[in-house]
Amino acid sequence: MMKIRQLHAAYGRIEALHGVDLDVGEGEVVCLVGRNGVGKTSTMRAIVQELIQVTKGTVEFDGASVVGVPSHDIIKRGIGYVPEDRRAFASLTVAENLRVVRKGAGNGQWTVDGVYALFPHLAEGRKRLAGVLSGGEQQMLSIARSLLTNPRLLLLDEPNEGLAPKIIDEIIAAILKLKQERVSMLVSEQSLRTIRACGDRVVVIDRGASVFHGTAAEFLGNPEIARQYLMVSGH
Amino acid sequence: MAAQLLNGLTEGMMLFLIASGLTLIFGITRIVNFAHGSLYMLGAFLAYHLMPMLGGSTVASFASAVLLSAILVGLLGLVFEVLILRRIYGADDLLQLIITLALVLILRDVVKAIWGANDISVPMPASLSGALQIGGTFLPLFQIVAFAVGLVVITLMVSIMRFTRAGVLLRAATDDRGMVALLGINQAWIFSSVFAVGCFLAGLAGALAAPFGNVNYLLDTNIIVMAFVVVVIGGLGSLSGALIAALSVGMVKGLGVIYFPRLSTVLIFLIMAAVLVIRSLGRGAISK
Ligand SMILES: Nc1ncnc2c1ncn2[C@@H]1O[C@H](COP(=O)(O)OP(=O)(O)OP(=O)(O)O)[C@@H](O)[C@H]1O
Ligand SMILES: [Mg+2]
Repeated sequence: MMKIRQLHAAYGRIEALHGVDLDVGEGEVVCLVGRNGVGKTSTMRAIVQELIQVTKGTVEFDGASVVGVPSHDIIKRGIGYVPEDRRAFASLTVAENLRVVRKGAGNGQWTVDGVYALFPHLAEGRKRLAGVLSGGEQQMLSIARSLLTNPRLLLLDEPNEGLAPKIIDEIIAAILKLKQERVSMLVSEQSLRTIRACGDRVVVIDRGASVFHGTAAEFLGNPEIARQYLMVSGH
Repeated sequence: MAAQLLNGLTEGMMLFLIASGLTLIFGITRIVNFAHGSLYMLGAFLAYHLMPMLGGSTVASFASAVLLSAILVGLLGLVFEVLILRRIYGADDLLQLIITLALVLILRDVVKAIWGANDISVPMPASLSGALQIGGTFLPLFQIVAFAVGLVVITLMVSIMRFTRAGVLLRAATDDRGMVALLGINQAWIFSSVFAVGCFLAGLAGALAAPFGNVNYLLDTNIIVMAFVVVVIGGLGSLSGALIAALSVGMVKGLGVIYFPRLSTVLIFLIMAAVLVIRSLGRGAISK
């Protein structure tokens, strides 16, 4: 459903991506891994056309290019984006954050009750201001909010970053549930958590270019790759 | 004393109406609309023009003239946003400044060409030109009504901001407008409607306040300076801040006239300077 070929993209004159290839198939969970600052976030931004300009290469969703398409139209085509820093609307309550999305957007099945059922934590605090929520709660809110746009492809940028192990379990459980509902996902991370839990395929990115493509089993079966590109020791 | 108090409150309320539009527009579009005072002035001239056509100095004709003027000014704002401002949101701040300043000059010339350079006066509705006796003091009826209209507008604003989805969207866009787009919402129409509503409020204030004093083509600069002072004291983008600041500035002006007639304007700028210094000290303390 999504096909990226030889993507080059730049912030103004500073090129951050120099050759990313990436595919996400229907119902698939693809993990985008790599160290700090290699271009995971930039790849996601290029997909939703935020902040970064595509200078070369193609990004196609359902066979149509998204390059130059306004972000809000890309979202309407069925891509959901949960940014790295979550970007909950701090001065709005949880319920109001969810209300921002137009009801029935994308003609899908997700409703406010549905996302509360996915994250019971949020339902308890629906009257609280998003600004005072914990990092984990903000992450849940950001995912829930994005689900209301009824995406067929969900981009999750380091959803587990900086969260307590118990909260990470909850987020992973939600990702698994979404996978069962056949939501395609592109999940970036610096650890192996998501790959182990539900990754179908892995794309490794290094200094702005994709350097490895393979199934999750291939990636996990070859610790040398993780050592070279991730600096993690298998935990 | 009570009369001066009411005077200050009413002036503060009119200031709030114009400053609220300015701060709303800035909070969401990041445009500093220098033409806001010109739109206020246009509202006053339109009311002057429309009142006789709508039946003279009755309450009904005044009310409909005020409303119609505000709507026309709002529509003008909408056209300006869609045709011109929309193209320059990403551009240099300087360009935005030049374009809104251009509108100031154009509106000034248009007003002079249509209504001339002399003072005009907009009559109060005859039945509101009296005074209300409360205790031993007489309070001008029209001021009370103008203040009440302001209260109604505030109540409407607060309800819209709190309870409607439009209000939720506005607050969300003030927090992080990029994220609003990333939830599938076209910002263009949020910007257009905010700009139109802000201009509507400026037109409303201009028309409603017109009977308080002489109206001429220089009104734009007088009012925009005070409106900016209010917005700066209240905090850029903050509606509640603008309300508190507008009423305080109105009171200082109203009461200043009695106690320190020559200093009241100076005092307002001193307050503004003090607020700016305190705020930057506070920020310094936080960043340490
Ligand atoms: N807004 C920006 N303007 C200019 N350069 C940027 C911007 N954001 C990121 N970069 C640069 O682009 C490169 C890729 O950064 P990116 O954020 O995509 O990496 P990342 O893989 O997401 O890293 P992290 O693991 O830290 O989130 C880096 O060199 C970074 O400095
Ligand atoms: Mg990142």
